[in-house]
Amino acid sequence: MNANPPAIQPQPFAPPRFLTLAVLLFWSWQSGLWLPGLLMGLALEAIPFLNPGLEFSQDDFRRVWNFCNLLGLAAVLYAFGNNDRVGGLGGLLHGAANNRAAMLSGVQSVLNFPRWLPIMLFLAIAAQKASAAGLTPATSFSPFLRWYRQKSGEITPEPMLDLSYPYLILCLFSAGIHANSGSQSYFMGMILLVAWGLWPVRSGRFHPLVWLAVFALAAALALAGDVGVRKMADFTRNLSIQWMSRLLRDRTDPKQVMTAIGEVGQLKLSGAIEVRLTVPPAAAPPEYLHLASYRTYHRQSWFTGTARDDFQEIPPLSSGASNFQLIPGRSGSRLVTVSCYLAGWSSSLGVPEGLLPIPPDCDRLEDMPDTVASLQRSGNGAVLADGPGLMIFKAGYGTGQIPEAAPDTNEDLAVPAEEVPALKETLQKMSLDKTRAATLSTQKLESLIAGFFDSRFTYRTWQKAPSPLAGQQTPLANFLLNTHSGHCEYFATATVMLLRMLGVPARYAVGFYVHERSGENSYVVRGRDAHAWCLVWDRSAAGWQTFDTTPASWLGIEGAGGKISQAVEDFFSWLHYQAAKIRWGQSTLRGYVRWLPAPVLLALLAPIVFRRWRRVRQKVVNGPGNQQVFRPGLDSAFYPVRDRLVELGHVPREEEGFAGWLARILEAKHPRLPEMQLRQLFQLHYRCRFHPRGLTPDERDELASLAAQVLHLLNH
Amino acid sequence: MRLLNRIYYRVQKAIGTGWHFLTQRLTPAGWLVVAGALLSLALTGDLDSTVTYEMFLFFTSLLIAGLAGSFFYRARFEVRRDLPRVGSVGQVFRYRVTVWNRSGKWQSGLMLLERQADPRPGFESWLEWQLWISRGARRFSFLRGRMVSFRRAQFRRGLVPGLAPGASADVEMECLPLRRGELRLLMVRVARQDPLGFFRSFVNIKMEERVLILPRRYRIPDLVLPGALRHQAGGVALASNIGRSDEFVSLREYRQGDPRRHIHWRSWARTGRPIVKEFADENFVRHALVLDTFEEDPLGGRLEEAISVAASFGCSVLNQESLLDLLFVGDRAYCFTAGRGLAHAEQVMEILASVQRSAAQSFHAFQLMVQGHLNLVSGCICVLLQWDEQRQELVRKIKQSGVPLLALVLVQKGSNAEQDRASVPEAAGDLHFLELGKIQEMLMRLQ
Repeated sequence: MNANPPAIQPQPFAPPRFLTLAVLLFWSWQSGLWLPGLLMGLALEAIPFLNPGLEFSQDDFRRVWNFCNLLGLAAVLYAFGNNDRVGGLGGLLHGAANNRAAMLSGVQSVLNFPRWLPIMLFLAIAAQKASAAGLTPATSFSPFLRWYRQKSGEITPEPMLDLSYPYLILCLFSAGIHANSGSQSYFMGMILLVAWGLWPVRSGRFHPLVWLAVFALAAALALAGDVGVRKMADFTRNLSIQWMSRLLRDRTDPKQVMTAIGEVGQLKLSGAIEVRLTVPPAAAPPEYLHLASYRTYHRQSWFTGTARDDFQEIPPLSSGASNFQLIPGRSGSRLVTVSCYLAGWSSSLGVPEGLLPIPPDCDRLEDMPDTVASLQRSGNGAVLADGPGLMIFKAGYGTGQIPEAAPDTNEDLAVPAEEVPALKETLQKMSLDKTRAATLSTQKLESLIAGFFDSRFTYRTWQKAPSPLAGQQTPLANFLLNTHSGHCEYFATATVMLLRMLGVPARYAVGFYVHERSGENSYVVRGRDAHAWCLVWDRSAAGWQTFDTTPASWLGIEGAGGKISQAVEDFFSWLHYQAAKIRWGQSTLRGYVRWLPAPVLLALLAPIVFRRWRRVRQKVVNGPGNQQVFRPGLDSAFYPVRDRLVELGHVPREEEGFAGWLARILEAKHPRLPEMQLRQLFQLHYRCRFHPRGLTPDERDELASLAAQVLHLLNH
Repeated sequence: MRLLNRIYYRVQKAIGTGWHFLTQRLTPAGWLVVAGALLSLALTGDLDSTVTYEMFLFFTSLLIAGLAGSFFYRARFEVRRDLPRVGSVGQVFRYRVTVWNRSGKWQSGLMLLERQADPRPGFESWLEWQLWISRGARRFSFLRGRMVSFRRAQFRRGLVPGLAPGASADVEMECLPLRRGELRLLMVRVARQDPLGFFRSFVNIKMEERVLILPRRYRIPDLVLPGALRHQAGGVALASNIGRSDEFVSLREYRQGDPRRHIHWRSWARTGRPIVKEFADENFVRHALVLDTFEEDPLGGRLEEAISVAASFGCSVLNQESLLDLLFVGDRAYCFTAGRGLAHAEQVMEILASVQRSAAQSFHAFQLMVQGHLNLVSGCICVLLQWDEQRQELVRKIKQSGVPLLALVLVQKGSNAEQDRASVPEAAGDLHFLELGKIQEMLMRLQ
């Protein structure tokens, strides 16, 4: 009575003729996929002409929808797989600049998907158009809705949807997925097509001119909005450039570095692992990992000075090889494997870029990744690499020679005028001046300065606001004369300035200090191990030496942190590292990632295969073919006799069995027919064929001999 | 906690009201444009890689223009509904609404909508229901609890033909009742679409009318009811009183004193001796339809099914020309007798349409009422909501009284009927378990 209540259902509301074709052609034009758009449009327009009126069940619609979903899944895999170049999604794992590149790459992948939506959903809309009802059951889209309706015993009629217009909207949306070239073609095309589509559904109450006026008003409003949005976008873009430049301020730049000297408050120290080192068994790691050196100091920033653009490409040792020599003719005995991230971005090459953390006296780089696009070295000892976001290579070192350009008397001895008074006052406290310094060896000078800092200064990451009484003192002067405490940048800068005041060329170097062991032969370097020290020119050795005056207590202070939170952070650092290895092709795992969709496909295929197998198996057990296989008595010796009798003209009729046939033959009283034997033979054969136990071996022999006899008689 | 619940209730109600408002206001074309605007909004953030923000701007502008066009709708109408007195759950009924144009202008492109009384429960009922759900009485109840629809009926909008000033037109409306009980229609809304066809605006005409929605009924197979007469020669449908009646038993030879009107003339002619018809006193068949209303679910999902089953049997019994005593407990115990000129099937249906869940009374009192009634009836049909100790005891008592029984128990899908049946072995043959969701199928198996 209530199983199928008369339905209160929407009627299919088909779009005007050729609108679907027009919208799909518009989509083709905008997205550059001409052929699929044309074919789909023609097919969808042809279906109402052909009027197939197919009776699709709910299950059919569900299958079509599932197929569309699978197509979508395949499209997602293809979109991401096809866009997996350097700077792809893996770049999201690290580095702000890489994030941008990865975002761009990811956006491309994400955008490919909605661009193809009309293709993916084509079957769903075609099925609806070809169906007799012209509507699609809503439950075919949602297993949850199906489940809910079943569970709740819902008596409202199955909700039906008309997908025609939603599909057109979707096509319009997909048509807009392309780069904004500033042309108005999309806007104008959309207005025309929407007007075409809305015309039939307009209210009959108003004159068409009223409709046209309101529609034109809406279009004008949208156009004004478009202009406004473009202006707003330009404005925010400028804003965001300024904002981003502030964010990226702390990235190590080969040309300049802005120090935290003069900043007030707590220095932010990151526990994230930046570099991983592996050394040969029982070998010690390099003490410092050098990134770059700087020459001129101006208002709390260090600059490379005249060596700004002296980056030179380092050629590989042989073409296509992955080994590079930094100091020709030198080869240190020590080797360390370095894993580091390239945090910058090369806009010209379109790949990540960054300075390599290498030992200060590094003379060669071995086993560099094949994907390195460029490797350059500057006179300041900085090695700039462009290539994969994660670099794993071997650095050879141990010669003790720092590969930096010889001192420049202008830049490596320059002291900003505003710092001179404080420096002079400090040197007085140390009882040092230029003439005395000239008489001392570099080592002696170093020990004097180091002793001075060690005895009177403390390491501190906290800086309080300068006292108003300090007047116009520079932060460095405040450090030297008042606070006597600061972090490594204060110490390194002050040391460089003091050395220069004494006539000794010095440079400011940044990099990492290596001290934390993470395994038997491996070490980790965290963000908080970033360090600054100075390079001092050793006149006697005619080479640069590292000289670090930061009190040794800095390691203890910077390492202070929660152990649990550190463990958690390390775990994520490790995950990040593993993911980066896979992403940047430094792991064999990447090969396996391609097989990830396989289990999904298997899971989808398994039920189908299982069902098919079960059906086949049931057929084998129950089907008619099985009876033939196990039918006993087919090897009976009677059959040659039967064949002979047939040859002699005793053809069995269709309706009669063996018994009736035999009776007919015997009634014919053929003179050569051995009646007795034939009856015996027949009985034995019947037992052989139909008796549950069949025949004993003796009886089988008897059957065979009887048959032979009868055959013999029949033949003669 | 109560305050939190109240806030939650208010929020839920506000969302429901908002949704209802949108469904009334937006036309399908309007929904489509809203969906298009939202879809294009998804990628509007990136102005370089896509131009879908233009679609967003345009669709939003269309909506703004449409909304602006939906204002300034003034007209006067008069309407009259010709409603049926009753309807049935799951059965579409049609009715006529006559509309008069009382404004001085030609009116066209209009549509009629009905507004029903708000079917949502008050806070107290809602809270009781929520507490019951949170007890985890049902699997996935947390989900189902939030997805229950309170809608009482679904209407199809009626299209009004063009109306000259002062003219009238009849509009056929369709209604699909979804819930049993009283359906209150509060007002007729004469809707107009904006020029673009996205939004509706209304002239509301208050006119409260009611339709009694009868319970949903299942198809019942041709059953031999327990205790029914099987060999009656014909019906006594026109008998006008209850109680004793004469039933033909056999023919016998005339004895002195037999009334002449009992003489069977044809047999006398055949045999040559006077033969008379012999009668025996016979009671009318009287059935008890026992409806269990002791439902735990405050919204009574299972009770609705039980009432449907009871309604189906009620109609079936009354068609078989017997008396029917409908026994149930609401706010107090009720016993209605129908059949044989006392009340008709429709009246039983109307009573069932109004049955409420029994929360105040005890099941024991119900059991005593049924037991007390058993000596009056010749058969008993019990519709039980579950199969617990109390219900088993009730069935046992009925069985012990010797009254033929047909017990129908609603059970969840997948419950073990055999095991349940074994718990009252003396009534095992009379017990029928109806799985929720497959009730029609299982009722047909009773045959």
